[in-house]
Amino acid sequence: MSEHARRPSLGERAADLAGLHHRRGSLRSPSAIDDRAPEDCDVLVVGSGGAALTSAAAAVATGATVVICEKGAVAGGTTACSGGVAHIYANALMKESGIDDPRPDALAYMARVGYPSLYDSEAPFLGLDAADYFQLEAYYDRGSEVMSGLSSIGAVRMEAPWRMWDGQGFPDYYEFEENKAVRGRGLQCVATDGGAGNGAELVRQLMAFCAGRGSPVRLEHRVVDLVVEDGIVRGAVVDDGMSCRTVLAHGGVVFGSGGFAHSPELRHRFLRGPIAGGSGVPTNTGDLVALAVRAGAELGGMHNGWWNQQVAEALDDDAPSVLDVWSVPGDGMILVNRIGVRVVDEKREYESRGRAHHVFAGDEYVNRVLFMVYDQRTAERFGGRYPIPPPGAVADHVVVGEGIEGLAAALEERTRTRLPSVFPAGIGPVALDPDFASTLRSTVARFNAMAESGRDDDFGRGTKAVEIAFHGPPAADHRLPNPLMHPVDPDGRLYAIALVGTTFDTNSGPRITTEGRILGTDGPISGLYGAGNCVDPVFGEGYPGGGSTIGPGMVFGFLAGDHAARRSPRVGATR
Amino acid sequence: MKLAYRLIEAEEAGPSAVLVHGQGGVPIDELTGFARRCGLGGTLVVPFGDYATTPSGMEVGGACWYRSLPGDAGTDPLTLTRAVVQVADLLADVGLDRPVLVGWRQGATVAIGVALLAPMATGGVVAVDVPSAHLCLLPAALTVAVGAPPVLLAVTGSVEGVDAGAALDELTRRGMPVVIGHEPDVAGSEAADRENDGVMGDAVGSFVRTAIDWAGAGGSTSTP
Repeated sequence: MSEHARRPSLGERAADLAGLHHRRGSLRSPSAIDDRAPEDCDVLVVGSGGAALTSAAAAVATGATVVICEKGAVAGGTTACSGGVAHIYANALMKESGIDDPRPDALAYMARVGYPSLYDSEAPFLGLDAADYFQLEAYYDRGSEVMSGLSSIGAVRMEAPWRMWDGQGFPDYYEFEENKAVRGRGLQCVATDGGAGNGAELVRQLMAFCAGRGSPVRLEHRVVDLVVEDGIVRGAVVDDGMSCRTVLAHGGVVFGSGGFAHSPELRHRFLRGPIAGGSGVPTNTGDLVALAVRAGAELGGMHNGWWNQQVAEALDDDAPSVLDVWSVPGDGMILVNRIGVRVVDEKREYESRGRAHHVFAGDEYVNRVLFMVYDQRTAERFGGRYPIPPPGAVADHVVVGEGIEGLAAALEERTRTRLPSVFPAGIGPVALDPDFASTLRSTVARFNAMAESGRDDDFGRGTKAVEIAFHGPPAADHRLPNPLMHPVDPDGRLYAIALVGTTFDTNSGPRITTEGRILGTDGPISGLYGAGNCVDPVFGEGYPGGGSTIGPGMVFGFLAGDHAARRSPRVGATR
Repeated sequence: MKLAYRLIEAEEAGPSAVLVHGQGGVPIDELTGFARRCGLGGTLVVPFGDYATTPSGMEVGGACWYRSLPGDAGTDPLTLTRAVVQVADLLADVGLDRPVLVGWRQGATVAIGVALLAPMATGGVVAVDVPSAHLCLLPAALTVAVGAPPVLLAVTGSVEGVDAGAALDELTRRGMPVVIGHEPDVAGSEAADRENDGVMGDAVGSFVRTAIDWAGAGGSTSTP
């Protein structure tokens, strides 16, 4: 394959202009060593997203002195770009509403979603490794307690139910028989106006709580090394861009520093398949991995991430706030691979849909690019819902053709000309099958017949509550039995958008205990903690419902921050 | 990703313009109507930031284009800079002859950034309600001493928190020739907004003529 001269990405050009040269890459040579005396604190928190700030809040609430270091130029991490939902079992709002969330069923639900190849309802620990099972128990048992704890210390009230467009609670992503409470587990913070707050509001409140107790977030402060003595983590070396200074943390160092979605090196090392970095902040470069290994940590599975899709032309490891395709808009719309066949229920939520790209079949990752095909009616009815552009727009990422043959010809050209220049290593190239047009015609005919009957015999499109939640109300002209399916006109103007598989962050890293302590090969490493996407995930490979990323980050972050603070002799309490 | 945009054909002779929206959804008709009332009779280009958050196709999205930061921190400088680069790329792609850039709020900051990044490609900036806090987020790399097109600092009475004095200082520091637009003292009602709009339209129209003269004279660093 010929070497393409790599052009700087949009994000790189923007970062360059903004003077943020050092925002990516974890192996930057450190700044000059500072000869000042080390700074002292009880707890050093690394990162400023939901996991980090919740651990900081728990620590400051004990009276501990807390230092919060964020390597990025802005605070809040990926949490601040998100809806700020936490997925919490048997939470107080569910109890108030009379929604029962029994423990054995909830544990079975989490186990089945998170460990589908191990789950066995009759086996000890449901078929899971015992330590993984205990993490699920801890998550069920302590989730609601941590949310109450955040209220009682005055940090934030996670007391607003996450709702869908019709006012119902937003449904979980799986409706297995084990799931006895499909709605009600999503919690958002209460904003100052009394409504539900998003991730930026959640971060704002946590930051205000910490800053009010003497712990503001220090921006552009990067932890470049750990101070380890006799196997005990005593602190860390912090680079502020000018110099490196040691910060001693008498209780411990808590990492809430995010995964490695935007480190191409770590993606290639640990993930399998055609996966690009998605909508997480570009500072998610997996800084904990190397530090934890040097401190003697035991790594968990390193192959897990939160999967999603992104428009191929939008891929950019350096840009902030690039949109993932959280739901695919439209009813007269299908996703097909390079052969021209459907491979997934297009209306499912991002995470299970994103996994369709990981399939190896025949001789290749045959779904490494999926083409979102839709007709003129859908373009008009759903225009403005990303990635369908507003009506009348000129949009570079949309391929247009008259009828199936016209679209196939236009797509074939796009795969040869434009797409190779936008794919990061590991995704492309992709060429349409020689019979793509005729296969697509058959695929559309079959889909259209199923749309008329309302039943998708291939993928069950439109049968899950979560699909309806993401789709919204039926289109005004929709008269068929299944509001998520409408025939695609194969002879009119057709559109296609190339989608690739992304991870909006990985959730892989060192293993932790039920208190958020990072495990070494001989038990917990004293003074080292982690929560959120930088450590081994509580849900294994699963995503049980909205808030599955922030929920565990906040719960284990809180427990870690509290544990670390109480470990400091200066805080007094002992455990 | 290249920006999606809508192109509106010229109605009459007159300068063309690129209309850069602020945060959140704004009906396109409002943007283009304002431009036409100001005498921008040429081709109009409306870039769509990221449009995920606006289910209605009649609106211009923008909430994700300018990522909001928690609390009082305002707007992420990197998302602003990304928008600057994208709009500058779009200018090169659409090939208009030195269009006037009209921006609202964060969009005004972006328009000024584009004029600094690509001074020879722009004919002037109308910065409506640019908050000086946003303006200060433009990186130092975008400060040029000479060659920047003139800026009309237009301030309506309907937006709180606009500090024209500080914005003026910031623009002057960046070496941009500045014209101060109308600053009405009434605010709030729709009628007042319409009235402001009319007065502003006159000011912008007059500014646009000045800007055209400025460009025709090969650009000058003195205040037009």
